[in-house]
Amino acid sequence: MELCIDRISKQYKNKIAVDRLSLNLTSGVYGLLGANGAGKTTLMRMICGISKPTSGEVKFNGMDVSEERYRDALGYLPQDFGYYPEFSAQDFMYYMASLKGLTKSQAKLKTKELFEIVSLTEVAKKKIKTFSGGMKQRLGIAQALLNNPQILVLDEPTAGLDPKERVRFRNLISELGKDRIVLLSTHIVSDVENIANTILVMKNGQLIHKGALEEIIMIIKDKVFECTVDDKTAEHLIAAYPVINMRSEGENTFLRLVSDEKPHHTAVNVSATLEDLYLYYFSEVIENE
Amino acid sequence: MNNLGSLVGFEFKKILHNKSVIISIVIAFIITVFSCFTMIIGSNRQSNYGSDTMSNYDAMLLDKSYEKEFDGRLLDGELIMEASRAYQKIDENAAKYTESEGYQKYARKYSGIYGLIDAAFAQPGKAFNVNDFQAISEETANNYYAFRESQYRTNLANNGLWSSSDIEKVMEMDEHVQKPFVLSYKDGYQRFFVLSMTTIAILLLVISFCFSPIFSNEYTKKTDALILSSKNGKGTFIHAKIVTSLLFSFSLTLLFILSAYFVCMGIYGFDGTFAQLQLLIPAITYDFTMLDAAVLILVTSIFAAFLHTSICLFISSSSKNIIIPMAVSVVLIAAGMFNGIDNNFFIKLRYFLPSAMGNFADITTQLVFNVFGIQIMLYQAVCIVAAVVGGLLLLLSYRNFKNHQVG
Ligand SMILES: Nc1ncnc2c1ncn2[C@@H]1O[C@H](COP(=O)(O)OP(=O)(O)O)[C@@H](O)[C@H]1O
Ligand SMILES: [Mg+2]
Repeated sequence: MELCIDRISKQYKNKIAVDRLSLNLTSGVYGLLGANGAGKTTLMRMICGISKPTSGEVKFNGMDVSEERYRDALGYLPQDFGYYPEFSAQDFMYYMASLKGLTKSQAKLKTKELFEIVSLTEVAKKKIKTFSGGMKQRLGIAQALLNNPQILVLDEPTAGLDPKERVRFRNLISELGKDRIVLLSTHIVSDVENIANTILVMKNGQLIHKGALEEIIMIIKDKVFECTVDDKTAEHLIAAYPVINMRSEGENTFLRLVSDEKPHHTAVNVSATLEDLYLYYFSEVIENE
Repeated sequence: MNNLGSLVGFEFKKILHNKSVIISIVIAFIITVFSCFTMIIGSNRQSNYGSDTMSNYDAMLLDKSYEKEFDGRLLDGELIMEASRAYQKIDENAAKYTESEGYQKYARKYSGIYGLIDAAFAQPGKAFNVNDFQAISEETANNYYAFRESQYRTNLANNGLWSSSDIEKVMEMDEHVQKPFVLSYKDGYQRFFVLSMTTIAILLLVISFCFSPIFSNEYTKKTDALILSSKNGKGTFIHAKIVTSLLFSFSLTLLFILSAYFVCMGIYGFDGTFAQLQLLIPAITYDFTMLDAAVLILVTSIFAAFLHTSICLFISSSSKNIIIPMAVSVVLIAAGMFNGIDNNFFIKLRYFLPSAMGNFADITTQLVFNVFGIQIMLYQAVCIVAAVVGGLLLLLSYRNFKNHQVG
């Protein structure tokens, strides 16, 4: 099982959303991490064949993304998509099942099973327009799984889920990742920290890092420092180093920052987390937000 | 596994979930049925009979009883002279002859006959008026059918849309037309045919309303990402959309046209079903009964609805906008109803627009088209063109949706 992404690019009028990106995926969970606008959604749309790459190609086990067989192996939860508000959750699932080529009996069986998993059994007959954001999101996840896909593409799947639902979702994904390709995007580090076998960091349309959590963190291992200094020194440090975290503590300021060397004599080296790496890379974006 | 059937079912569900669509269908249907009644509601000065005011409904019954007296009679010189003599009893001094006692008492029941023959006897620049009818000679009356033919020939030749071989083709068909005409009451058919212009316009408006959002709704409501990434999304799904739209528009066409037909028949009676079409259009050379013509209207309306549906689907598939397809189809409907441009090409083109295709007056125009040396009549040509153009537009709609880019 192999999904090959070969130098794909997507150019909008005056913006390169994805820039000559190559990637080979085998079974496992892949966490695609990147700030808003990094190009995650655009990349996923191309993988799902609903947006044509400006150049490059996507293949799964030799099948081109444009083939029906390819789509048959695909489950997709788009980031921002429409439901049919007048349909009941169950009808929506049956409809998606018809779109995915399931028979009526398969559709019934699968819907029942998936509604159990995402806890929608009680509201199966309710119209989607009465659903909360979290319920819709769970319904979206359920439809993506209808055809038991070998490639599961989930664009910001945890958006709208409450903390309890998030935990359940993570367990579900870990389970699913055992024998299929699961690619999920997020801009929330904790979503992928514990479940992704491989972390992909995307910035400005390019993959800037790829590897297991430990490998990725290696990049800034021994480079994360914490210190509490007076305001004037803090100003100085903020100007000189990427700051991951800061808060004022009385007259002083607490800083967590990235530096090759000890930035200040009071600074202590602390162990790095994925969040540090993420914030390190996207610090400009965070400030702009 | 083929999912076409269930996908069609879901597409129907989507259409029926759209309340504005359902409301528009209901309103349009009420208007269509109501318009069949407009001629028999209220009362009219024209139907004043002596000092009594007559309701339009009673006037209709009176006209019916008059006309039914002539059922089965031949329109020959003898009958024309009989009618002329009745018209001679109209008082010459009456301000409006239709309100005079002589007209109401003697001439009125012959008014249908006058209406049938006057066009044939008209001279260039001069209509055949009541005085001419009163003074008609027996010889002229006996030659009615010769006058009719030469008058039609002259009209076609002067028109500019008919070549001399076209005229021969049209006149050739006259050999099969029953002469003298056999009279019959036929007001139900007349009403149905007159209404066809508004019926088709209303039907096409409803179709625009139902099918302009068919594809664009999936774009604007952002359901396209789910559909296009699914196995059937770029194939069977699009077939299902097209099949649903065509089935739905076909059903609407049957509903509207047949309702108008049966309501007219209910009001005026089925009389005239097998009477010749010449009783409505004396010059026409088609050997059609009223029923033939009604079936013709139904068939051309079905083709018109097919073409119009395809146009809506095509625009809908290529635009995220819902207003544009609505606007374009309204303009198309209007363009088919108004003959404004004095240019032979555009005059002919108008007949191919859906709203003209379902209009009795337009579709019975005996235009001749030469296709690879074969002469075909307008009603055949418009159906062929609608089928071909509609089919092509459906293919393009299919491609448009399949290649639609999300984002
Ligand atoms: N249809 C579009 N037209 C123009 N620019 C677009 C379009 N879609 C996305 N972009 C741009 O491409 C970049 C990547 O967007 P996106 O893939 O949505 O990022 P992400 O999902 O990581 O937030 C953004 O700068 C966005 O503005
Ligand atoms: Mg996104």
